Amino acid sequence: MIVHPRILRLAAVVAGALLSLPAFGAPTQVTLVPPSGARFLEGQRFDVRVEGLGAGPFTATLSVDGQPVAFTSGVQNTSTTDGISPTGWGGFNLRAHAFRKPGLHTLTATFADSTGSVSVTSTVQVLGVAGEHGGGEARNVIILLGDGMGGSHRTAARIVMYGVSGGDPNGRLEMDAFPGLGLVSTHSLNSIITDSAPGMACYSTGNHANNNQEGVYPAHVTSPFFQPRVEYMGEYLHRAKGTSLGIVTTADVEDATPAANAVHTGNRNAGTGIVDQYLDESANNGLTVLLGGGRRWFLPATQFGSSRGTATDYAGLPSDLISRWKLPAGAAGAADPNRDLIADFKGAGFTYVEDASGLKGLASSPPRKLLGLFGYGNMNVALDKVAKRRGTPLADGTYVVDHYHAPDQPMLDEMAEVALGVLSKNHKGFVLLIEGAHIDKQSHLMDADRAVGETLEFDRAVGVARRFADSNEGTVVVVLADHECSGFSLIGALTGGVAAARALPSDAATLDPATTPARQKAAGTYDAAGFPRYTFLADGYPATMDVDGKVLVGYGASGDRYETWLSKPLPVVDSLLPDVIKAELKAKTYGSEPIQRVSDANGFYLRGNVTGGQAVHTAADIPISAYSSGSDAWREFVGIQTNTDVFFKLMRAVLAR
Amino acid sequence: MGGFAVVLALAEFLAAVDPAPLAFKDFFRPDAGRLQPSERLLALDGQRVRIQGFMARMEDGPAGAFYLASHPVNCDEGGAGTGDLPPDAVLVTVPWAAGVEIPFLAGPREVVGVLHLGAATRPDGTPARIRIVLDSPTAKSEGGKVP
Repeated sequence: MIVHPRILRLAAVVAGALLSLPAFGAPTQVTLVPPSGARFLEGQRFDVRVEGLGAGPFTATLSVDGQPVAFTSGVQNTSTTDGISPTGWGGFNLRAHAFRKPGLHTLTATFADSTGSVSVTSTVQVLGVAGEHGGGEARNVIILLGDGMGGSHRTAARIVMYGVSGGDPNGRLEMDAFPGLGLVSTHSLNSIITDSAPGMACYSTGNHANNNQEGVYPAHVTSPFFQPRVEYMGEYLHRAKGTSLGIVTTADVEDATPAANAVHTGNRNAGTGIVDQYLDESANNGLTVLLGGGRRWFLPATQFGSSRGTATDYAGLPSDLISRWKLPAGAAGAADPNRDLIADFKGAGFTYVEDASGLKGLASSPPRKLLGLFGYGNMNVALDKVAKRRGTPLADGTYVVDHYHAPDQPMLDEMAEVALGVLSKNHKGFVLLIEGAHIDKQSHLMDADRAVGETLEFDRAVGVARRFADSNEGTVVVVLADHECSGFSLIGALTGGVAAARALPSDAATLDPATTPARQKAAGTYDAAGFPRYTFLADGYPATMDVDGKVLVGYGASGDRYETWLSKPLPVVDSLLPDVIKAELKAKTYGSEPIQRVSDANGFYLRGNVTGGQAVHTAADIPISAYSSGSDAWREFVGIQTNTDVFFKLMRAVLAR
Repeated sequence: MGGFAVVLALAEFLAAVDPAPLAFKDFFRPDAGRLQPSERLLALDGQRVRIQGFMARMEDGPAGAFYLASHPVNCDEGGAGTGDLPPDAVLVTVPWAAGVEIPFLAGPREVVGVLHLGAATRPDGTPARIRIVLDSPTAKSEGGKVP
């Protein structure tokens, strides 16, 4: 674990005490960021901001290690200060500051309004680039993030893929074969339970963030894009070494995990601004590959399928932010819902594809830059993509991917393969995120079969990265998650067979605790679980998830659900016959039950641990697997570590002298 | 919550007379690579329509409205949670429930209201190009007038 001196914790406590002692009548909520305890790599840039709520005019001072430092924005003795603080708030900023000298550094600020003054202090730590096991031999960093993937997701995928005999797995996942295995704690700045925005950003910045925020510190400003920034790995390494940045995901590229590698915003939902910033600030991070879903954000608002709008955009980034971060003037942003962002990407030299066939055509001759948007929103999950490829439709003859108007979507490993072909053209190296997004999303939805399918798809991408590392010395690969999702647990296996399970009478009305639902009896535990066996087809995926003796999954962080143990033939099981609908309306059969998949209507009712109808993220540590070629960088990840540690270890693998 | 559901169901039931039938499969031209609205969809802009689908269950749903999709769909988390919606999902506004979270109703639904096409953004920032303003519960008793 990287340095966490007790003195730093003590300093944080002292700073907290100072914060809590404002003078009588003084401004309130006076805050200084970065917060105490923040850590930076030497030379890593970050914004400093002091703000408070009170009666203007406001004044502020800042000193760094005892020396006065001027703010880059914030007019003294005014109520408007920096022009980006809401009414009643004053704010003063020092943009793109950096420390060159490792060790502890103290930031002290005063903030005053017409009634009084408050002093606040923050002690931060700057880490040098030297690592315990050397470093600096790597030039390529590949982060494979299985969103929401805990240890049990990996175990489930392994059992499904290989089975178990005589007490031992019959095979290992690609990620199992990595030599460096550790655990990572996943907390965010404001909660023990993180969401994906700070969950990813801690790996890409080395700093904690509040939930829903990525690449920024919390602040009261008029746009989430104005919040104080901290430099991403991709930005730092592009500035220092000329690396490229690649982002590959099965989610909408606007989603938190992909965006938390290149986009600075306090609102992970601000899709229009997020995708604009991918391009507008690409000169600062070397963005070269962007593959995933989310075409809706790139289409002008005049086109069907577009989600662009001013409410999710930004305009007028502060001038000191632009100048100090050395952004091009065009990066200021504009409220431009009618922007044709695909055309702008093409104008910036990106080759654009929007289906698997187009992507496959690039494999033999990778372009210089690549944008691929394979769906309007999130891409579909592996099992639904595979169903289309196999020609195995739903009962009504349709395919899920066709419902999403994305009939020809690539698999994650296919995207990774082409992305590596593009990025490896840069001999200075690259940073590549590969995200298996739906492990999390399907776990939220308590769809075990699809969550396992996603883990299998993700593991195939891990194999692509491993093989690339083996043939490209100087590559470090980590496989991890931003958090665990759903308390995913392997509880046993189905007894009695699938056909019998399908034929069971409905358990939906069995709510008396004294009566055991038939499907609960079918859950075989301990010896009764036996050894599940799945058949895999040549495409690398199970022929069916509904095998006799299938693996059963429970959820420790569950929402309400009806459980059948059977795969969910999503999306349609009921017809839309008008007569049926009328009958249902009359009988109120489909009243206001809090949750119920139509396909699970006969399942037994399980009240969740939480409200909201879906499973939630947990605070469980997640496993990290590391591999490196040409260096021993993987050794750094053995043991237990905090999520922000991963950033420093990866950076040292590339930068250590 | 239960009462609200009854009102919603009642509104759907009472208003299910006369409006033009519309189906999700009729939204877009099948021969177009990108989503191009069909002539039928364009012709019904501003008209009362009846459409059948499933209410999307969303962790962060729009206030005073819900999305209707061609099949059951669950959308998790914010942000790209709406990325789980198929692109032909219809935003159904419930005029008498402004600012109120609409409780999820499982199973197939039939919705009747006035179709609106074109770019628009709701006050909460939710964009939607295909929208239906749900008939009010009293629409039928007022002679089927568009509310």
